[in-house]
Amino acid sequence: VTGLEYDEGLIEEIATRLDMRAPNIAALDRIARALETAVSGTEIVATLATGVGKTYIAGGLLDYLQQQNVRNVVIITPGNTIQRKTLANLDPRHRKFLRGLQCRPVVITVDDIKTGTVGQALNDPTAFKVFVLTVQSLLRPNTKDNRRAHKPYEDVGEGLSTYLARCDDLVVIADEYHTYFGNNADQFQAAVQDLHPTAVVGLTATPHLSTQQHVVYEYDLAEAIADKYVKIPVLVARSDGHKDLRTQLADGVALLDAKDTAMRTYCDTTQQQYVRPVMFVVADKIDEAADISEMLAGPDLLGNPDQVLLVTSDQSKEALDRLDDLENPHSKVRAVVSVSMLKEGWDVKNIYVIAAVRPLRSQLLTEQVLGRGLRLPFGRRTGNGMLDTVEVLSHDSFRDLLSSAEALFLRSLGASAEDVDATEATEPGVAGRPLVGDALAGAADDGAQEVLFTLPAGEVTDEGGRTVDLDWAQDGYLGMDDLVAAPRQIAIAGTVDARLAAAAAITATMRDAVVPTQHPGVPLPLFIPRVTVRLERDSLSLAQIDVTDAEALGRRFSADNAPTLTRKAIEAFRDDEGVHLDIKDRSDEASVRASQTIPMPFDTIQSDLVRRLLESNAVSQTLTEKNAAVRVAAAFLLGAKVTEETPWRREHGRLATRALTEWIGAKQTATPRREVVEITQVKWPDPPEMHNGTPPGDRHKITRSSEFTVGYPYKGWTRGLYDTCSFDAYSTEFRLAELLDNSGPGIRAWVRLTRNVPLTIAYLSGAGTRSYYPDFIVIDEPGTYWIVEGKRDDEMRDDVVLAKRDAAAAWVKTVNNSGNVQETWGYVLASEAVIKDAANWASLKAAAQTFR
Amino acid sequence: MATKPTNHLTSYVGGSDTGGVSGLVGWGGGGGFRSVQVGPSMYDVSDGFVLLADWATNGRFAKGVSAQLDFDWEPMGNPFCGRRGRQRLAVFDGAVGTEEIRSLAGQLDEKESMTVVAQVVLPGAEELLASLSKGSRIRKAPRDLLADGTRRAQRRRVTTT
Repeated sequence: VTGLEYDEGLIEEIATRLDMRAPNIAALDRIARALETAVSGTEIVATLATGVGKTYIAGGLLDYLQQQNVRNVVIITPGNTIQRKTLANLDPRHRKFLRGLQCRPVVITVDDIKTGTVGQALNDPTAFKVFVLTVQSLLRPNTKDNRRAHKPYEDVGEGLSTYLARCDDLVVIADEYHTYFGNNADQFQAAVQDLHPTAVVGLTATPHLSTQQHVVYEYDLAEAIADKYVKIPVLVARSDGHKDLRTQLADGVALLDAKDTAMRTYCDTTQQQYVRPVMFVVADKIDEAADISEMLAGPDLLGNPDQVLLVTSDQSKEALDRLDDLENPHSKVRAVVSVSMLKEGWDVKNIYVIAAVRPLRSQLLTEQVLGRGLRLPFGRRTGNGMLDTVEVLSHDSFRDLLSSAEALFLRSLGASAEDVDATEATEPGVAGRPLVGDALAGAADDGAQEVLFTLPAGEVTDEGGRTVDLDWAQDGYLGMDDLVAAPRQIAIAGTVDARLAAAAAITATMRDAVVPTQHPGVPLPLFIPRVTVRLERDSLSLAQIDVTDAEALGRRFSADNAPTLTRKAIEAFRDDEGVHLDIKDRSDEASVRASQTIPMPFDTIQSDLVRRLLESNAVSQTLTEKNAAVRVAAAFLLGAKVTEETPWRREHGRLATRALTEWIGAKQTATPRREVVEITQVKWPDPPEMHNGTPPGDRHKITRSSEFTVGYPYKGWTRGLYDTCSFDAYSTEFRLAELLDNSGPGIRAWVRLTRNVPLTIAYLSGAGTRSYYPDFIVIDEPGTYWIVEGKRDDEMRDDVVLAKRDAAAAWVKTVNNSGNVQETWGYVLASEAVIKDAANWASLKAAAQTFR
Repeated sequence: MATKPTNHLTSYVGGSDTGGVSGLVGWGGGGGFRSVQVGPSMYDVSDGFVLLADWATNGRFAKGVSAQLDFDWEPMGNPFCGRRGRQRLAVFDGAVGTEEIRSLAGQLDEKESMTVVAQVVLPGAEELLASLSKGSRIRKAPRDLLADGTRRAQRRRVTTT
């Protein structure tokens, strides 16, 4: 079997079910497209940075292949660690099971080939079989070592590789694909080719050069960081460069303590399970590693040998178990010291500090080392600047670090140096001055303590593919919540002191709850109306159908199909399979071609029709309906005058079902239905206090668009329900907030609407409805609430904007007519020009479009 | 019928029944056992037709479907009742038509899809859903649930409590 027809809908279904991230969906999509044309061993390689979640691509691919009727898949792993992880991913009882995976394969390893279930599955062509094999077990037997995969197994009586080679639908998925292209590359390729797979899908973070031409999808580390799928690396240095090992380790421990405090505060305030931050130290030689772990255990550093784990090449079982256990809440380990780089597959999520004995060169920032610290312990960024970053200690001085930063990005993160913008971080939330060329290294001389590296904001397009001004690519306009309109951070460089200060500020912010400001005439909580429209329809039961009508329909059916129901046969012809009778009425569109010679036995006609009816969309499969279906079918066949002599064939059953279900469908569509509008009220805010992991900026320091940061919390709003708010756009949202805050006593309070505020309005868009999230609520007089929306001038005639406006106007009317809603609601739509010209709320309201 | 083996086990463990295997191996009681109540099947078989059981209505039908299709039970308000990744489950006790589909699709976030399970699917509903949300599906119960989950149903009876 070659060529699996590409199925976009299936990919979308799988992607949402497995909650896959955008790059993983894109990779799965490219692989599926490539599979469509794959023939005998086509290589398909997808390259994704560590921590993005390649596991989900493999899982999604399994579901895709299973739905496409592939029944044999081999997953090759580079060793036991990844094999164990893969087996856990496929085991519904394991905590690492890929939640949402639907294919439920029979998982087969070399070890359980002999068990009965496996033998049964191998002989069952419908069973979906996934063979998880290490590359070692797959390589061809050599004289020294007869590989187990090639031994015969009892049930099928042939070697596993012979079985696999015989499968005509085999797809091979090779995890960590680059690892197979070292010394044994020829052997590996021969082993894979011997299986005669349809395709070999390779997944890797670092593609081997020889497979470069097969790469169908690439997603590098810089993009992964920018898109917030992994932690942000922070390069940390001392201003004077570091002098000795002990100082560096002490810096590492200080940062680790700061991370630990931030973690405890975050977990306490958000009520999540504490995750212990761990430091990862890479040494050059074994004795060096032993010295470091002794030093770390000393009283001036960690002070406890139990908190240090030494992993060398002669790893003891106990050390490996403790390494596996690192994420467990009861693990005491705070530092792991390793000589060899811990390989792929060791992917714990709680590494927060990385230090190396050798000077920081690009290899420290390679996937193998940096990759160990990139995964996010909570599966996503937390918004807490300490928990979303991994500190990488450098030997260089801060100045040298800055001057070599661009080269590092190029080599390690995959970003091109000219794309990366550097800015000095000074005031929180205020975009600092850009540092170009020599100014970057020079910044250290001028006393810079922290520099942010960003990629420019991505281009955002609307549904029509037109580029959207980033200021306007906000929630409310496009209805997407994750457009990345802000510059995208990919790295930070900072001094040890600056990082420790940042940690202290973040933890202090996290501890202080943000509570609503009390405004006279604005009692909390607010009661926010929610309008839902529910459809009630009267159910139609077959029992309500008059059997005489069914009989009449049968009469009509009989008349329509008279030629085929009355004549025994029109033509007979012979082909390879024997004699066929071709019953055909050329004048009728609903012709019957019966390749089956013998008509159905009379006593099965009725139950066949009942079965067909029950399985149709139109009839529910319940006992009542079944009994009614028997009556309807009997009446229909009576009307059609079907007797023992009628040459009734399966095709007639199909046509009769169609006639009946169309008739029932028309009745169902015509049953009375009512739209029931329900207005409920939701209390907000509940709970009133919020915790924020980002030290807020001063809103008064933002005077123009270039200083503004999208999504950054700004403090200092006197009439806001909260004194701290973040915004998606400057020229409308932030400016509108300034206007409202400066409007004096004309306004009692305003609320910046985020996804946390339960105010949404359904509006019509094409064939369906969508949810509209407006920008603000303004309370001017007690009991009068205005929903306020700002739009760019040229969008005031946009269909979407108008549809939202009309929906909001109708919403306001519905809510105000409700006896339960105590407040009066209104809607204000203001253009950019109106906002610019308005001196205060009153003049804005006068110039804008208002509805109430 | 369910109580009989339980009674036997109780007397074995308690040591009051020392016959049968207990006598043979010289077990005088001790130990224990755990009993698991398995809920009734959502399906009845009548004259060879698989039918929805009478009790499977309202919330209980939705809960049974959610369990069978491996969604997390999350009654967010009719008819949404389950979630699995970014996929939501909507269960209709009766018919689903184009009007319902239009309204449900509007409640999905941009990157969500849904599985709609209904007992009757009205003309046009499937086509409309396909055009509004590519990753979404309508399933007729029990027809499509059995086809989809036959293998799983063999391992695990659908239980509801």
